Amino acid sequence: MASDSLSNTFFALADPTRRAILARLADGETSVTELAQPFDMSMPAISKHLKVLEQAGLITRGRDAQWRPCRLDAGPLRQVADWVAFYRRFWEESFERLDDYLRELQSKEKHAAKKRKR
Amino acid sequence: MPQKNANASAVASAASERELVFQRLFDAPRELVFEAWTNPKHLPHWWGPNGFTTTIQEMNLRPGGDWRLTMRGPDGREYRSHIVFMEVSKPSRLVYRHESEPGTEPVVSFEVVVDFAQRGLQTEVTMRMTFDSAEKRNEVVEKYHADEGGRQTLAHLADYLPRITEGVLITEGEAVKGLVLERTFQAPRELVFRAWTDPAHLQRWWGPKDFTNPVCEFDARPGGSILIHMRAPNGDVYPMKGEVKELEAPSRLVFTSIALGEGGRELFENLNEVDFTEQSGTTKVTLRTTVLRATDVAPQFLAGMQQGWGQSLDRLADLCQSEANRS
Repeated sequence: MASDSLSNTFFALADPTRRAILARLADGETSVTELAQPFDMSMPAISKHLKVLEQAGLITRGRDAQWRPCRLDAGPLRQVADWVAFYRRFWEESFERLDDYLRELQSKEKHAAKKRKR
Repeated sequence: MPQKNANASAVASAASERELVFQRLFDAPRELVFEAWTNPKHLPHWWGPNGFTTTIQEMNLRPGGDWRLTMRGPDGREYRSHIVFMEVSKPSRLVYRHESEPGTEPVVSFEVVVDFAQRGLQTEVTMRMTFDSAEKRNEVVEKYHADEGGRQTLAHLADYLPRITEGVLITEGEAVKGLVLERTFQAPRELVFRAWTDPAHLQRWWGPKDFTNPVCEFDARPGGSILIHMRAPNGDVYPMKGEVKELEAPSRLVFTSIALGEGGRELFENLNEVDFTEQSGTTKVTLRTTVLRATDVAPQFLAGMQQGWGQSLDRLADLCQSEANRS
């Protein structure tokens, strides 16, 4: 495997709730209560998700027992995961379009040359 | 695959009396070949001799991890195996021990070492099976034609590799360096190369689905500059600049791409190496993209891009899920 930490990152990102939590945290740090609001979930369930994200190094949490704000950790793990997701999609879809475009070009050329190959 | 015989040799040689050795050259980077060998999504598409189907019950790719598979022969007979990984060195080496599941004939155990060596744009795979005794080795060759089966299996892999069009991670030790992608296009090499290096063409396909490129400059010569403004369906514009590092028409193109943030601030830089290989009228493009440098604002930018892509998170989910399943 690439690395255990990267695997953790991918595992953490595999859950839609956790991705939504990350998207929310991208706007800035917030409390667990605030974070739980949009989700129809119990606090323990949210805490469980936060623990996974924390273990993956994707978020950090404040020390204060009362107010433990969560914030997105823009660490190298996150960076790698995002970069990979980003460029996988970029190139896979670009190649898809290039494939279509090359077909289109060639059919035009054939028409222009008035060649009829099948 | 007669056309492949010219550059690929599949030989089962009795290097030692207890061994069966198979070697073959594949037209793909080793990251991709390793991926085909270790991702349960790909394995059933090529694993096994002619006429066999394979299902994977589990595959835990780590030292000590279990891998269980069932091969079903043309006669309906099932061969169930339990394999335990001993070494997993991505993307260069795999070592595993193979045992027959109880009740499955032949009762045979052997150790397998698979080496993946990069040879230019190709990968040489050497698969060495070592049996407990020369008798066992001879039995599987004589009664079960394991030598022929091994050759056929590797031939299936060669046929399957072009069907992997997804990006595969390039890793170095613990670190992720980038991605490698391969795709075969039904077009002559000159045309494909032109599509990459002529901005009028490049503009038409660069970027994900439904993106446009209002600005697209590509000065196709070594040292030439690149400037592309890519526009997302929601109207967000993502500028990128770069430089052509190598240009050998029609076989190789190397260029850098630097994502630009607010006020033209450089966020991160990628190196893109693109090789074009002609294969009887079609063209295979091999792209390696690696990160040269990144700033601390790159993550926010990438997260923002994801949002601009709308449904991209769903796709990210699929990717994450498949990665998670494998870990």
